[in-house]
Amino acid sequence: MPQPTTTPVRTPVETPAVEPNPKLLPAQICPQQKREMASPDVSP
Amino acid sequence: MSDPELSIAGWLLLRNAHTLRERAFSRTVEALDHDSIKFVHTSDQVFQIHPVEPSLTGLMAACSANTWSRDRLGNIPISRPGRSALSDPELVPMLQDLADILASEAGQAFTSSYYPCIPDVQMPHQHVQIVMQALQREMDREGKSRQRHPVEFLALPKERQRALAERRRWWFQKFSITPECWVTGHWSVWDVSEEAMPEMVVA
Repeated sequence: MPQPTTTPVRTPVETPAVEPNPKLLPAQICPQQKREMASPDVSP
Repeated sequence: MSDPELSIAGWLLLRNAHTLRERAFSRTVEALDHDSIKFVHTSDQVFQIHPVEPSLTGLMAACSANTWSRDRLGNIPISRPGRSALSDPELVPMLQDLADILASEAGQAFTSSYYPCIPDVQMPHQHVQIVMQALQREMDREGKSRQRHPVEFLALPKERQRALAERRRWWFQKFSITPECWVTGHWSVWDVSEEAMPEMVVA
């Protein structure tokens, strides 16, 4: 009797649904910090 | 909710402002009285005005007709010192729209599929680097305080770095601040563009 074939199963690995801590974007900082980021001490 | 840097009069005027110039003017208004006006950057001075039209444009015309108020609105500081010894200088609150636009531009450098340079703006590579380092300063500080990794401007492709630096200059110019007048430390409401606020900036 041939041995029944089995489908190889990959061991499940837990992966987060979203990136746990996405990088901070300029649009996410507050208005006062945006005024600082504009860097008025550096010539346009 | 009102901007803490904005007077109630300025807040009401801003709601009726359509152009970048009208918005910048609205942000300069400290107080409106029976027949006078005070500005944020010269709050110890009162200017007599006589508007003909009950509108924002009428108010601006009245301020322009008064020699002294016209002059004060033509000479506003670009920046003010940081709030602490560790802070960097910041744009004055009257230039909040410029700050919002630049932050939006900086974000789009990372997220937009198409982010071209400005053909009419030229600058040396060294200045592009200086601008990227300046932008990174505040992002690093904010990232540290929030315990989050900030985006890295120097990790952007070179063409995007250049595009961002050129767009920064372009937008400063819309608010009357060119490299030539930047050294004076002042800008003029009267020379701000009459274009509308760009759609990319959420009001």
